[in-house]
Amino acid sequence: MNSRLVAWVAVAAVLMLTAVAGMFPASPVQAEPAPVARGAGNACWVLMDFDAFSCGLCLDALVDFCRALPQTVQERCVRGILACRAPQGKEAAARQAGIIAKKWNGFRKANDIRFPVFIDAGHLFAAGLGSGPAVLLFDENAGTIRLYPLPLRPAQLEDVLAILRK
Amino acid sequence: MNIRTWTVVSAFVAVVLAGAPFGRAGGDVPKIVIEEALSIGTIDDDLLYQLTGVAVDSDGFIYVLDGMDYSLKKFDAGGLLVGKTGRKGQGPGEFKAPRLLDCSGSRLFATDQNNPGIQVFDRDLTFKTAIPCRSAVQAMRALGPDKVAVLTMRALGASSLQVLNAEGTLLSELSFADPKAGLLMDSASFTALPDGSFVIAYLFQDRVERWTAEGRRVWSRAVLGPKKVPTTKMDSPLGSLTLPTETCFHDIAADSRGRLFVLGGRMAKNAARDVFVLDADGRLFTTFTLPDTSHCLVIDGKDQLYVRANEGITLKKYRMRYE
Repeated sequence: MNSRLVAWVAVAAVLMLTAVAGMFPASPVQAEPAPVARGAGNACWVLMDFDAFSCGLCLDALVDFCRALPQTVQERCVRGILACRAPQGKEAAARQAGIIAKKWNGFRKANDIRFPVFIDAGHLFAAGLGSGPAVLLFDENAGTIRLYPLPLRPAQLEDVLAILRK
Repeated sequence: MNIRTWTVVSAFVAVVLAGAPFGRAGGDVPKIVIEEALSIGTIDDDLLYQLTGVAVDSDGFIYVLDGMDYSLKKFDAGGLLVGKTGRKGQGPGEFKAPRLLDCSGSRLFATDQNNPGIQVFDRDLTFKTAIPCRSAVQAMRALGPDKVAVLTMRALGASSLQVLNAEGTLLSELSFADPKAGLLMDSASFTALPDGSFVIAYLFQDRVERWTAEGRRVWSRAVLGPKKVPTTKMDSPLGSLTLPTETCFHDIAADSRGRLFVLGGRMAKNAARDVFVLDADGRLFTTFTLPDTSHCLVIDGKDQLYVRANEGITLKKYRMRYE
């Protein structure tokens, strides 16, 4: 796993831990094992680097993954994150967000992609830029997150689909 | 004469000689002023998502390949969308990663990064035929309605510039690259001149070269100055590879006077914005800077300039005025 993938996982882990912390408000310490995240359901984040919009193979890998997902799964438990570099100045940031949204809209329509996508306006995922598209799989039963760089191998795709269909 | 005097005289001579190739004193350097004539595509419309290739026909119609929705679009001279074709796929008239576009007479020629060969359309955007091509195409110019020049990309061995007919038959081949230059170092764009010669601008070398169709190099020029292209080492099954990481030139086009407009890459002072204008003998005529970055540069029959803006969601047309 290269350093950028590690960075993706680290950022995701921080966000996950933050979410977990939010689910369990402060309470008196008890001598029991801390529970892992429950109730949020299995989920999948598709991480996409805006720079990869000019990479045909990266886009192909993303489309192939999306096509393998049933529409109901896409809409129910898949979310996309578009990471981008921090521009200089508020005006540039607004312009960049508009450009990214427009490009994604054209790509989404041409490829019938159904899951909602969020632009990483705070640049939380900037550390992972340049590593290509990837999937973060949140497995509720196992209490784990796993990172899969796209394109997925057939066995990996089966794993992801099996968990998302649960 | 003492050493100090020699140094001063040498420096003076060096400065004079350095300016000599340009043939101009500092005061009378010509200037090109660009004035926006047309802008197609904004953040709020659905006209362009990612401009990859541009071509203009003799009637002023503008054709654009769009990499985000896999389409070929046609605009009139006023920027009105008048036609659109294409979808994702590998069949006739379909694209996976549309890249290069050119126009000659009644025909449009389009390449795809992920599909081999060249697709030919008429000016109504009807698919007509496909020109087979053995290697991936990295640069292309239409030489006529049934003839095209392509610069092919090869993983091993030097690239070459090939002239193909409509059936894909090789009519001539120009071997311009140095096979010892290193991986990717022969990547280039090119333009074809009316006398049949070609001018090649290298992607990863500070070199612009003019070649005759017969394979003789007429001239070779460095434009960016004494800068070395940075490289990186990468491990591969073939061993450690040295790869360039910054581009010198992104595109080249010629105007009706035979002047050459070379779009600088990331090595230019203003990355992907500086345009170096050379005369037909390769001497630097002048430079100007685009308002926004572009990966391509097209000049139509009226010497109007077409470039990308807003990271590919906008196409700009500029009038060029000499001062």
